[in-house]
Amino acid sequence: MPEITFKLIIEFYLLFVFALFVFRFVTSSKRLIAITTVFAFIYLLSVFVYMLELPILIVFFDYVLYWIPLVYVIVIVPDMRLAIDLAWKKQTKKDDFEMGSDQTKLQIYDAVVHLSNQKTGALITIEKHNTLDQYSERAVLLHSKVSKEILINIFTPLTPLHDGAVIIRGDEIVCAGAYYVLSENEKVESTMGSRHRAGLGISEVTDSLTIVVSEETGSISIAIEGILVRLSEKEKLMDYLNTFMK
Amino acid sequence: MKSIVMILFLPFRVLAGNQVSGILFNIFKKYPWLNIILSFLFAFVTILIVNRG
Repeated sequence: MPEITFKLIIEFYLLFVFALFVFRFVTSSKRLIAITTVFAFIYLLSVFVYMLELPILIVFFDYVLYWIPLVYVIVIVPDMRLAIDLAWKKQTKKDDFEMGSDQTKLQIYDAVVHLSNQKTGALITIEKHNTLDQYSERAVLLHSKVSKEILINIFTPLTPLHDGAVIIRGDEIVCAGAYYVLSENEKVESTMGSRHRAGLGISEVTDSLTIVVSEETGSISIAIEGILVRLSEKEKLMDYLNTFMK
Repeated sequence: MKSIVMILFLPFRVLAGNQVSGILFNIFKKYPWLNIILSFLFAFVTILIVNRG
């Protein structure tokens, strides 16, 4: 038993915190647990190989064990990104936030219904607690009042900004042409394109509401808290806006 | 052939499958303090091994 010194206590504390961080991360999803158990099994196999002193397998495992930590990190990169985004979501939660007025809701609703009737693709995100500054900084800043005409104009095909997302904060269109990280949710229908995946992606990492208009069918979908809902009736959009923008 | 391959890969299939990860996930969800105990053990064992070496 080693002598308990101040240095040892610090070392123990840091090891404990590091291990707790790793364990909590690894046990946060089934996918991570499955990947980790497979890699742990390979390590377990190597222990047997070294114990039994199997010469050929020892050479093989020397290489495998050298590269396996790197392979493991590469495999879990998407989960690490998601965990960082979720931590960021908690960190960037503002206590004070402004929601749009009834006039803004009406302008958004009218614009989305018009775009849907015209079968024009659109992606509109309404910010709530979590700031979307990291996306707007890389987009084209507008800082204009929300209006039906501007929204329709932004999403008109073959114009420079029609492909990205519009971010709305309060009564203001912050930016257009914003790009999000696409969702990797496997449950999303294969018929849904990158616009829907982008909408779902931003809803997974922030508490915003995103309206997606499909350019193939003109259908309206809502992405919120990692769930994508296709609206059966266009009128339901107003209910969602009323509930969200309270 | 298919069944031979299946038997050869059985341990990996079981470990990577839904059942084992599902059971472990539910255990850690039900008893989150297990993380603390495991981390404590990890730190303790690491220090013991390093000091013994």
